[in-house]
Amino acid sequence: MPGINVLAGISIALLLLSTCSALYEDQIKKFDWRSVHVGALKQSRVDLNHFQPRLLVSTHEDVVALLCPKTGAIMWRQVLEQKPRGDIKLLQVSGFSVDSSETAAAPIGKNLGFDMLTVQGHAPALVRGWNTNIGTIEWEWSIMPLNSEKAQDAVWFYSNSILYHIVPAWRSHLEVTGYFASSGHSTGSTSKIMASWITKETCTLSGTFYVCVDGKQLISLDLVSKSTQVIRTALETEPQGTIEAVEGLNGVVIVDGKLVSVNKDQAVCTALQGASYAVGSFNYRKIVVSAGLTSGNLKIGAVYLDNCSPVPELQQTLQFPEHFGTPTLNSFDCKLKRNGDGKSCMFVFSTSAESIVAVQQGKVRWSREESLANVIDSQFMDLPLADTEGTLESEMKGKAGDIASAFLRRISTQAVQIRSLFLHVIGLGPPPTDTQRAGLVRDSFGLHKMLVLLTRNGKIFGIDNISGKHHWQLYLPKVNSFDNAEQMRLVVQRTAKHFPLQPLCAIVAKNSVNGNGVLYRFNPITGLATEGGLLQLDFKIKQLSLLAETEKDFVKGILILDASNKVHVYPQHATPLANGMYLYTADVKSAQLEGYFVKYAGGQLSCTHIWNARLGGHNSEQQIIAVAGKNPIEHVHSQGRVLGDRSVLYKYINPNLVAFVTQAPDATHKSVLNLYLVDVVSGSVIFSMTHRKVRAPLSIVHSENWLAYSYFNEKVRRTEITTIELYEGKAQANSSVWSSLQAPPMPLVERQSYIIPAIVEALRETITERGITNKHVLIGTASGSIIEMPWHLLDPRRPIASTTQGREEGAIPYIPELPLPTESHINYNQTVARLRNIYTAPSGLESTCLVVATGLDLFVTRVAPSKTFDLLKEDFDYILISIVLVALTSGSLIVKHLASRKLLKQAWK
Amino acid sequence: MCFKFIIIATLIALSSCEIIIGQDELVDEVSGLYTIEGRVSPPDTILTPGQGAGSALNKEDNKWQVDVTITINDGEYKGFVREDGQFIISGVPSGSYVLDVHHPDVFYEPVRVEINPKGKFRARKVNFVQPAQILQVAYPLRMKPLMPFKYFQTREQWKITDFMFSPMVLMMVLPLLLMLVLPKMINDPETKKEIDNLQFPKMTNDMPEISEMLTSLLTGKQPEPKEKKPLPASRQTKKRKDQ
Repeated sequence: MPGINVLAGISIALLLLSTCSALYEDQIKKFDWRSVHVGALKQSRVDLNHFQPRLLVSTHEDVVALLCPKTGAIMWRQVLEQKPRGDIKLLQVSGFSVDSSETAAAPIGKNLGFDMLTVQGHAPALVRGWNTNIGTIEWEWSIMPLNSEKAQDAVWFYSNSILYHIVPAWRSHLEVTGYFASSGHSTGSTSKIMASWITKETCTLSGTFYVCVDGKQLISLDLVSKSTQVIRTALETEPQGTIEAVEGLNGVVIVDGKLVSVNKDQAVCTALQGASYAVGSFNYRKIVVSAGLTSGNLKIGAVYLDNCSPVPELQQTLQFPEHFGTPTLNSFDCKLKRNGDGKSCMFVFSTSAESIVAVQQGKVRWSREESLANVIDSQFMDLPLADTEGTLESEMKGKAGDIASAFLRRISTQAVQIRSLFLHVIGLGPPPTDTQRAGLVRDSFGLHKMLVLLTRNGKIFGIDNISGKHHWQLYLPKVNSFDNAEQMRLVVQRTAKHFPLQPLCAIVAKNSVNGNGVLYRFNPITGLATEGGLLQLDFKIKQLSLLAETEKDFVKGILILDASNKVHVYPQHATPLANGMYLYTADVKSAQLEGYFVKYAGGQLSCTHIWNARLGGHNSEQQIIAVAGKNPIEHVHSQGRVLGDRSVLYKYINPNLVAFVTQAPDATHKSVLNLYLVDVVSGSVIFSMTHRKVRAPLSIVHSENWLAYSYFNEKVRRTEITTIELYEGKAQANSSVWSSLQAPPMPLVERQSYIIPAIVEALRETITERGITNKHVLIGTASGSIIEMPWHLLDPRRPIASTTQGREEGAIPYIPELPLPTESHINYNQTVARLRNIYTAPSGLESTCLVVATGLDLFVTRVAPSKTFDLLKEDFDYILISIVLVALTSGSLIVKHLASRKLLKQAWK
Repeated sequence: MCFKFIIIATLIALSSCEIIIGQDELVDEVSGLYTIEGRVSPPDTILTPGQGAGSALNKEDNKWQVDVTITINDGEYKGFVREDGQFIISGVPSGSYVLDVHHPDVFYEPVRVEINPKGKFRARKVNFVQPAQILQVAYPLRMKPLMPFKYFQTREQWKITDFMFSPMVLMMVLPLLLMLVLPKMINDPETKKEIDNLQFPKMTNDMPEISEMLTSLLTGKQPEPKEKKPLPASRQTKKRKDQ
């Protein structure tokens, strides 16, 4: 036995050596880049008067970070726990306080026992103190509320070095507990304040005041005063929206765009009108700044708080780019030393498109695109051809006429080329187009592409995949992801292959107001709307699919199944192609699958329900947690696998096979996971498998004839990957065409499980142009690494006992634990925080696959699973080889000359 | 008697348990949540100065404490490192967890921390293949850097010594040396002559002239004079043999 182990070990080591395609150190940043994000802004504090100017932020992605106010670069970042535990409730920076006793103008750096503190979560609530200079934690304490359900709506505020925890019991009372901020010791018992008017929708906390709307009045409570007195403030009209607090003003709320004070010590200027407000100091006087967007212009105004006179120095208007969305003033600060002109004031905005925008002196100083922290779909688009190649392409495409006309065309294009070259040389040529000027021209290997990213809030980016530059961005307001946990989609309707037609992409989403479908068509190279742009559909989208290309304009139509099971095609002229299409839907909650058949007859599309399958189990507890189909652009190069005895085992390659994974709690086994492989055309279940005592997180990848999925095994408390391969057998039923309806034989199933010593967050297979290159599986781990795993290692045919057959097949003996060598981390130390998904796309080279990993950060690179066999190595030494060649030729000539001379001499002797 | 003994033993166990609780003030008996604590040793002890420059956010002034993340269950629970390397993870219910310390440039070995419902801690080495095997480690945890991550292949560099000692070159160079240097070392003139006579007359003859080859190729004729010359010679030898 030990002998076998040693052998196995050696063979593994050899295999790893041979398949390892690690990076070289000098390749860092050559074709990979990472962009680091913090997420949409929640709270921020600009502090320009600190010895080191700083911008502290907390975000909706549960991140606290320090940004440089000059550039917006991240100085440090701490990624906190995921929601609900990490949900940041309060960010309190020392020197800023809502309480009037510690105004913003108070001496900064006053020692309060902390630099910055955060409160997160509700059960337990974690309170952490941070050192803002270097970003390390200083102290931490937590409390566990007695009633964790009630605590969900709890709010916190800080006043006079005491942190108050307010737990509302709706329509009943408030429970207020004080804690010493830096130690966590309670200041006394919890006080209960009776307040029968409080509801979740109408109340907010403004400084130390708990303010609620009740008809045409505000009812508020001062939570720190000794006597809990109910303050009623009358309003002119009943407020339309919800009320919002103004940070920095104790007891002041915004009611329909106006400031209203419920605090008798705090006067406000009622004349002020704006969408958002912030409080700070200017010329050592407290001011209120308001900002609002009117017809594309951002207006910033300010008044002194003491006498309501305007501050003319800060009055400014600027053009606000549309793709940022609607801005909300989050915080601002002015330098105290350089007072008077107001030029040193910086305003930080958060926007509805999840950008962070810093405005100074009437200009956008910098902006951060934080919606990229939530990428939900991506596509790599080919760049347009250069002009010369374009004309060549159009010439090749021309309908084949007789020889004479073809020759004439050839001569004329060449004449045109020579003319344009001449014009270019003397500087009279036509100016290059925008895309050409930006360097957006296709390269010979198709490695340079436009990366189109769709983000969760409807912002779309066009990013250079090599330099990481944002070429364009557009924002679709009021769009949302679909029901049934389905995200918005980015689909490619026409690729860049059809010169001179421009490529075409479409976003399919849900209108967030009425729930109907939205279609937005745009050019992915320029980011401009085409074909009418935004199209509001008058039905709800249930399922969508792409049709084949039309003959006329090479557009792939979008086939949409609506909520009433009617089908629609966009654009209309592609409708005939929908004939004979099959669609399926999967309801996540009920685990029910339905299949439809689309027919086109007499100019009418009809849709017939043809099958359904219930995967819910006997008591309908099972819910679908993952659906995995195959990549539609995948090519399977080899149809079979050569066995040890030189026979061929044919792969079961069914393009209509989709994997469904369901999970349900179970009384005896804690949790049960089922896997179904369903042919979604015929509705037949090809294979199913059950795992007991296994739970999510589940990642799944499905390609060619195999499937790999990872899950957490609760029995042995480790993450495992199960792989499945399907084979038709030694004979192929029909080698030319696949039909799901002609009942294919049930496939042979090979399966195996492996232990993986990491938590898997995402799985994805590499994909190449023709599918000749080996397939590797990219594994994204919880620590943010992306590991390239050869399929040999995941192969379910790895023999348990080292048999000769297995050895001849080239299979490695089975070892339960998968090795994760550091050399195969394709993102080396550029970890992707909260890695969520990996997308792959083929490049123009067969050997190379383009990769983008998304999460809180973004990482773009490329991988060559079988090494770059179709490309000279980049370190290929041209000089050496030419020197050797020249030296050898000249050497042989010289030697020949010498030899003949010697011969002559000898002859004369 | 035996029964009594068991009771006493359990009592002792319980009391010792309580002592731990009392000492550390870590256990919130009401909530059933516990705090894991430990210390992370700085990674610079094993990092050479050149390494780690490209760490997390690519800031030179970034502290290692910010680069290190301490997670349980894929970020469900997290700990943050203080400036002195101490960390705590608070609010953890009892159970068995794998605690991962991750630094982008240095490997720290993960530890399995087990908290029983009574609040007793046990830390042991992670063994996924044989979960039953227990190798206990110290608690509070001490996380030491094990080795720097080696992400990169080293590029093959062209060195003159590599070239010189490659077998192909040796095979070519040594005979050449023998050929050129050995004759010079022989001082005796007679042997020299012999050698001179011996040496490659054939080779020079067999070497075709490039110009001849070209003309033959272009005209399609066989280089006649060369062909003819050896023929009489061979006849001669044959004759000699006959004689």
